[in-house]
Amino acid sequence: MNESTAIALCRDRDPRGFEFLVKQYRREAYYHAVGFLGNSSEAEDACQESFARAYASMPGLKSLVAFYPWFYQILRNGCLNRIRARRRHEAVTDVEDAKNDPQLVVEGDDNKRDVWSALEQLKPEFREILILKHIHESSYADISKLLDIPRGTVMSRLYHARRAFQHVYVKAKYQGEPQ
Amino acid sequence: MSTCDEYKPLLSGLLDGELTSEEVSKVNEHLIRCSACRGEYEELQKETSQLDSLSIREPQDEALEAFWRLPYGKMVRNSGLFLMIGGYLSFLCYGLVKFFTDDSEMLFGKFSVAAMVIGSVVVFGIVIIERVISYKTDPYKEVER
Repeated sequence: MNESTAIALCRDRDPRGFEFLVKQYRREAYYHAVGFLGNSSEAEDACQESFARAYASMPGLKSLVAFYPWFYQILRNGCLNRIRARRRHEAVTDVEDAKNDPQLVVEGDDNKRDVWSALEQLKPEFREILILKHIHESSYADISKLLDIPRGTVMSRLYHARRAFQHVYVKAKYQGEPQ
Repeated sequence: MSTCDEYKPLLSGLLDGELTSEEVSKVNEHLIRCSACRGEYEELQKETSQLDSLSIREPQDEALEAFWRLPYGKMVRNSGLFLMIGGYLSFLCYGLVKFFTDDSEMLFGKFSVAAMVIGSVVVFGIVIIERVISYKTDPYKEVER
């Protein structure tokens, strides 16, 4: 089976096609979700929810050439909704949720965890593009296709995201150093 | 292009090797003349190289498997549950109707069973009403358990 056959099966409400697509993209979906949410169990929930939503919406689609860029928009919205709900919850209860533990998400030493913590402090759009470029090693063309933005916007968003990261990371490093 | 602001996004492109040869020569020309942009480019290069070494932990295979299950399994389970509960309830109702309409049963026995059934319905109803009232007035319902 290939992707276009799988998409055609899904549009005929045949779950075998969707099973094929899930197997193809579930790992990638998990990495993208964990990049947004910084928490593996929440990322797993977001993936499950997004795949279920995608399965329900596929038969109604007029045309679909590539599955993942379309699915990514569902996953992205799901993750952003979760982030918004988390903030609302913190505002209502006046209690900050326990911080995500970078050790559970990132491999490596303390410095890598500090880098991840700095990333987590950025706004989601900046974190998203930095993770796509540096962790997934996506090209500008791939990022442009996935986020549905022009190449120029990819370049300028990356520039601003890197500046924001630099600001947060250097500040954290400076504060962490002994006087 | 004339101001530094217009060149700044191109610094990212240069860093990633994503510029056309024309863009590369334009940015390089600017970097030779502008020490501020040169400094910014070197800083970007240094700090963002930290990001290249990051890698996310592999997810567990069981977690990936749980992302999607064929809907048939869920449908079959739900219909099995529905048939089982439906069967029990109709059998219970049938037994009760038979019990109350059968003349051979003693009146005292019928009263006792009726009292038990009515009592259970009343207690169950009160519990549900109390749960609804306490949910409406619960100030901590936003707090996750």
